[in-house]
Amino acid sequence: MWRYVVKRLLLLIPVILGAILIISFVLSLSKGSPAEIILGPGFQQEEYDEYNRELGFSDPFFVRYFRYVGNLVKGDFGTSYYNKTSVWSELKARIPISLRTTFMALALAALVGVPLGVLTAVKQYSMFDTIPTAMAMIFAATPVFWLGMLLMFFFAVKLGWFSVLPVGKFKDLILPTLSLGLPHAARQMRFTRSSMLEAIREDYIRTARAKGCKERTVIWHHAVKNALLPVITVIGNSFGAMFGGTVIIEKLFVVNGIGSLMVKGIGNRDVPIVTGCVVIIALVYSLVTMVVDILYAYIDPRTKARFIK
Amino acid sequence: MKNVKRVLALVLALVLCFGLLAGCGGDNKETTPAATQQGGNTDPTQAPHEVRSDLNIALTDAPVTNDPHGNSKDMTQQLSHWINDGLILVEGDGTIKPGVANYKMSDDGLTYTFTIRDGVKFHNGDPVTPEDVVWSIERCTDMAYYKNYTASFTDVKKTGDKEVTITLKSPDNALLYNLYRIKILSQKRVYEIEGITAVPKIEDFADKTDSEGKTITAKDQWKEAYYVKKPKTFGNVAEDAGCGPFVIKSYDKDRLIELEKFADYYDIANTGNIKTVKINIITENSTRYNALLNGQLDLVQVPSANWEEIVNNGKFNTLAQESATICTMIVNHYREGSPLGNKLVRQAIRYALNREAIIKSAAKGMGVVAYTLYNPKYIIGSSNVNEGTYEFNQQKAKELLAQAGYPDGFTLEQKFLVPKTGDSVAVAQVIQQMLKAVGIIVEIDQKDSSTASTESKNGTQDLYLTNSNYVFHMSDGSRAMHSRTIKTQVAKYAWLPNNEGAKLDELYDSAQAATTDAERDRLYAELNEWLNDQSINIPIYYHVKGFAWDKNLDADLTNPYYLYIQYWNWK
Repeated sequence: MWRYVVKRLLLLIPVILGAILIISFVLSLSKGSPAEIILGPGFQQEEYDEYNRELGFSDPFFVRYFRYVGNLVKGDFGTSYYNKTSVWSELKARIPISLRTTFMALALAALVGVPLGVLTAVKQYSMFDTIPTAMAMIFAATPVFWLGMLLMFFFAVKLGWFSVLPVGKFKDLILPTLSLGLPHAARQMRFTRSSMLEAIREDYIRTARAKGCKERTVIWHHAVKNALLPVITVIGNSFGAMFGGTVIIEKLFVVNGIGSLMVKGIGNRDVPIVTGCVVIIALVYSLVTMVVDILYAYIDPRTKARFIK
Repeated sequence: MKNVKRVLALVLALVLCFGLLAGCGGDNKETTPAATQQGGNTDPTQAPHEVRSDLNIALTDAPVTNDPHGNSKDMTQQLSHWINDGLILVEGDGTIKPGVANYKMSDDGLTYTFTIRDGVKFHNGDPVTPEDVVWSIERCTDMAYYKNYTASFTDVKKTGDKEVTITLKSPDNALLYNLYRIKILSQKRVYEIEGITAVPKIEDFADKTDSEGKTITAKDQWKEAYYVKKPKTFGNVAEDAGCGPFVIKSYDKDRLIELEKFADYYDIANTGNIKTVKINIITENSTRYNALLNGQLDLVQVPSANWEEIVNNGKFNTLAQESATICTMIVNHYREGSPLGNKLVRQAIRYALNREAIIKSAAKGMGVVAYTLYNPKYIIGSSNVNEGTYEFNQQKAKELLAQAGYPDGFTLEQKFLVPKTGDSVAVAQVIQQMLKAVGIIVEIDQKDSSTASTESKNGTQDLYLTNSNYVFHMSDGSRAMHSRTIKTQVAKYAWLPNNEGAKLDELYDSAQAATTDAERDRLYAELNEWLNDQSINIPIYYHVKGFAWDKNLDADLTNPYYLYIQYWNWK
């Protein structure tokens, strides 16, 4: 098992190098230079060129790429073109915020979506199936931004249960969590339902019932354990999508996470900031998929046997 | 039956739960704005109440830096006006008043003498000295954006214990407005923040060659060090090197900036009763608006889509104010073979635009038709000389097109570049249809504002929609039109055929050097007429900005450029 973990950790290196290469290449294709954005209009072209040279932006693509990778190995994420601050100091402040938002939304999605998915599958075609499924379809189709605005308007402005701007309390996290988590919960519910319906139709379920097992044992001990495997993969993928993709929620609820930093960096042609964000997102995503794979081993003895072999 | 009972029980249980939750909630927002931890609004009908001294406002974007000479962007400039003062202050109506210094102008208009007022201190308690003034002004002559404002200076020097003299190449009637932007910093404090322990001397440096073989002289290296042209720390932390009405208490520029009133401000007697300010950085329009409704912000600029709603709400003071920000469409006149190179075609385009309809449909009524680039209501030197010109007339547009040799119109080869900000896309779509009605076909190309701004300078578009903000004085337009900045301009008047663009330079230069207001205004009127005739930069409408604020706040919003919160009062 440890060999597997080490192997996966080593695989992170080419993943991150590849992510840096791709994002650097895409950024190099975009029009405009950092100098034009930072200095604004009204300067001579020579002044823009000189500024870009000072930033290192005028260097050839591969020179910049290898310089960045060389510095990254030493733990240096570079300096923001726009803010002149260390990229790591910007990331350090925002990573915990993004992680917190993501974990809470994911927890909501899993704690609501998975049990509801089990319930709807077990009580298929009943009211306990129809109503949650209908609501799941609505939430799954609801844009995150629209849901966030609606929750803010109704619960913060009209009812006054929450504040619009963060005031440093736990309550600040509730609306962003709901906005981000509910659509994901809906997707989790539908996926879990589908996975459960497959599992409860398997032969071993019929066998368990024939042996006289209680229905609770059949469902929770046999069916759910097998149905959860693909669900865990979906939860892992959701984490990755949420971590870097929360920019809309961040803007709406004034949460300064990684997503808004990256979007701002793209707009400012701030290559070190964008590359730094991509490195962190790729790292987090890779670590999460690794954890998901390890979880598989613990849940599924067949997978565990493969690892141990 | 059993199932029906179960369903009923479930429904009753849910109703009970919602009822319990509702009981845990805050005040009903329909009747009373909420009190918040930041110092909330109070019901104005209840008296007596404690007069507040805190203010909660928002900026629409994070300032790039708090170095007043570091960047020209709007939010950076706004913050700069709160924490820094210059030699001169300018009120919203263009009235000049002394800032940190009183001034005298020589009879020939070539020498200005500034005497620092008594009691003027920096935020760290040090007095403002002539050395600081000279250093700050010289720093600006070397900082990229401010070069334009000091272009007419020949010399700046200390001429007394509290005196600084500025000598000019030629008279400059925009000087005092430009000096307003040049804020005075404590040289000593900037050095301390940057960790510079000794004042750099030119002897400390030697000529060197960079990686591309270019020589960097000792003098250039010294200037960079002496003027701290590229600060590493200053501008990114809470600093006390300014002398404005507020001091930075905390500086998290992407989230929250806190200011407090400077107790030793030299003009404190004329300031209001606001002692602390929380500046939230909120980029999303709807969030700022909701924060106002929720009581967490005391004043916002209301999105045009919500304007009617907030006016009808009745719980806030509201003001829809015509601004100096103008929506214009810039025509690429210099592309070879383009029909837009013909002045008659450009004028035809103007006649094709129904500006009232654009304002009504695309800008949701929040605009005033513009006849000139410089709003005569606010901009010194501007006038109504172009009033009533190019009123909507489709027939006239078609006649001009026929005269130009395009009786059936034409299709533009390059696109209509539009930044995706505010109402710009909607405005562009309406313009596209109006042009189509006279036979001019063009495709819209929407881009984010940074990309659009960059692309606009390379001539790959035929039309470009933009919003410009000219401040105080007509000379401000020269930075985007005078030939000295040709390479970074969009309109590129200097590339007009037969050297016609030289007329623009001549008018700008002579108007700015005029020694009487009458002569200045006459020359600027001639400039406005010339710009109107060329129809390269087509004025569409001035933005009307809608503000809403707490009824207990006496906020003076007469300044169309910046918020002067230092003069505001809570009732």
